[in-house]
Amino acid sequence: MRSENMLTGIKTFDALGGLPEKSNILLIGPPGPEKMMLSIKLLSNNLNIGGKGVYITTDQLPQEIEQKSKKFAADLSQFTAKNLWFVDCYSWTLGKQLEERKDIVVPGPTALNDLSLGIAQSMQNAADSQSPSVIFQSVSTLLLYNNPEMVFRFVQILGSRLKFSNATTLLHLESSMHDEKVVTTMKHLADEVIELKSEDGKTMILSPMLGIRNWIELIF
Amino acid sequence: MPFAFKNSFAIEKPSSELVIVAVPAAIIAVEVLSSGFINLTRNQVMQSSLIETGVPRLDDMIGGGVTKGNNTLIIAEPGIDSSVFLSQIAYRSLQKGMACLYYVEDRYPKTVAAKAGEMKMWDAKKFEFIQFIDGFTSRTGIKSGEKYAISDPTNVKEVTLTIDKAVREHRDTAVLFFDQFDRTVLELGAEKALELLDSVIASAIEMHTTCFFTMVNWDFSESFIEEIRKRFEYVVAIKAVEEKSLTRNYFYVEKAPIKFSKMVVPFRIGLDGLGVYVPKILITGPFHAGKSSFIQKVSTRAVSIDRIGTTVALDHGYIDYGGVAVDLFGTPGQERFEFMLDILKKDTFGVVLLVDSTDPQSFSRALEMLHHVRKEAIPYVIAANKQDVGGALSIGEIRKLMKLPEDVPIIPTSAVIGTGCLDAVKSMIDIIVRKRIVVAQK
Repeated sequence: MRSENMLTGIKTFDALGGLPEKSNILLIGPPGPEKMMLSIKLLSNNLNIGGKGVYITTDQLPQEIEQKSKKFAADLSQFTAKNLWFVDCYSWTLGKQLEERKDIVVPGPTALNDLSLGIAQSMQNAADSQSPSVIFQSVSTLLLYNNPEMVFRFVQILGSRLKFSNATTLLHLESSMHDEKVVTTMKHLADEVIELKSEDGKTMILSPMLGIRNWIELIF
Repeated sequence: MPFAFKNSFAIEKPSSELVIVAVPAAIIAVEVLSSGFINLTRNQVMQSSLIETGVPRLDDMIGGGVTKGNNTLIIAEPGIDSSVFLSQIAYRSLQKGMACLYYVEDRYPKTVAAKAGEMKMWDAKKFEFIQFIDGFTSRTGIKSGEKYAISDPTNVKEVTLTIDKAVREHRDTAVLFFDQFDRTVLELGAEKALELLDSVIASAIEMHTTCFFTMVNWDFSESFIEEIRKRFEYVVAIKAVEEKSLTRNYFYVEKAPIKFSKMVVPFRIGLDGLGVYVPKILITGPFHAGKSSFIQKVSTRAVSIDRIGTTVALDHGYIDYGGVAVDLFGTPGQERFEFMLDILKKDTFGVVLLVDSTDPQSFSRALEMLHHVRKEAIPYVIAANKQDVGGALSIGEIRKLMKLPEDVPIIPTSAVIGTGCLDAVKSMIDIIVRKRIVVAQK
């Protein structure tokens, strides 16, 4: 079943008719701000028109992400706990949360069942909106701490549940960190694959599945 | 608010409605000995043969508790908090003066105790007495401060030897908790995981230790699950009604060495710990759809509080089908439906939406109600009522007029005569209990 497309407010995608709704999109790129920038832009565009979102983080604190979002001209903190919910799978490294926040806290990237529990909880808040945006930053952390087989099962079950909740999900994957087999399997598990890279200060995008068959500049 | 109504969503206390299979402890002891599961002297068995789990209802369903020295597998669907069952059992075991040995390999041991300690009903200090077998801390490059620490959790020999040591040092007095065995399976592979399991169980049997394992079923093959299941005397399954969000959880006993109750028990995890309740099915529909008659016909007991023909407060009934005991609530067809749904939604497992097959004009209101039900992600079936009346629309016509997809069940009913009503409720219960996760295939 091919789902409908939705407009994103991002010129490159909207010129192609938007992004497919209810899909899991794998966002592959080298370490750098590109994946996060695209995710935050997509998310905040949806939040700005009254949509809802969930941001799952395994490699940064929610408040760091809020801080960085300001750089991308999209202040996420104004939405937090209103129509955006963070699932914090990072502050476990610090032993405690630095400040009082309403995030759902997961005891670490190895606690995969708690992570699915936390995501399910946050989706309860977001599920009644038309098409919630979900950012998963990043699958690479899970692959660092868990056996890949475990991560594949987790992503598969999570992905089908999120689709069931009508969500459009961006799954981050660092391109240089994993072997070919892992990347291929992850691509297979996703509905769409978007590759990003930075070139001469521009963000370049490649996504044959979306009809972008050569590297072009991503225009926001 | 009427008093009866207020009562209905309090956490349910054990009542006479339960199907309780109570077996005297002495009989169990004899059974266990004759089946050779454990190697205790009769005297020891008689002294304390049962380990209470403290999980509401569960102990009653298996005759008072788990037989000492036997092993229990708690198997859950992904995304349901199965660890809270272990916390509950650990708490009860600590209260009873048992030693609690707790193997953990996916988080810091102190996180386990802290999380359990957050529950208001438990004295957080008690959890400090849990003795952890720490398979996690070494993963983070830090040295574990626990007495039983494992430097390489992927080394079967080291894990089993450490657990064996812990169990040996607490002969006869210990309960062993092994949280999330699925991790072990996925990390070590099936063969090595079974080797580890067999070795742990062998140590436990020798030292008269009672084991509780949890395992998340990440879509493992049925034959592999059976391989694991057969190594346990007790198996408890935890499942969720699969609708958008996994808010409606239930458990049931799959296997026990004695006669056990097959009741399906809905539960909720809150700050008060693990609470069980009687699930509700809402019988709803527009004005004059026949809700009160419907409830009267399907219930073993029914009460209707009505004034001048139409229900002003609510109808209440009760049905027990296939091990699921359900409260039926009829909502008034008037504007207060949304309000009622809002109050009852947490305990509501399903909705039967009655439509008057002779009155297509009421369909728009029915669809409006359905919209709210879908928004709360509650499973539902449609009962096409008044099928006995001349001029009633057919199921096909109703499906077309209400634009209902093929997978929404529509059951023809006549609440006045009683035909079909029970079928509608039964198919609702079947949907609730039998639904399984279907992982989308590419």
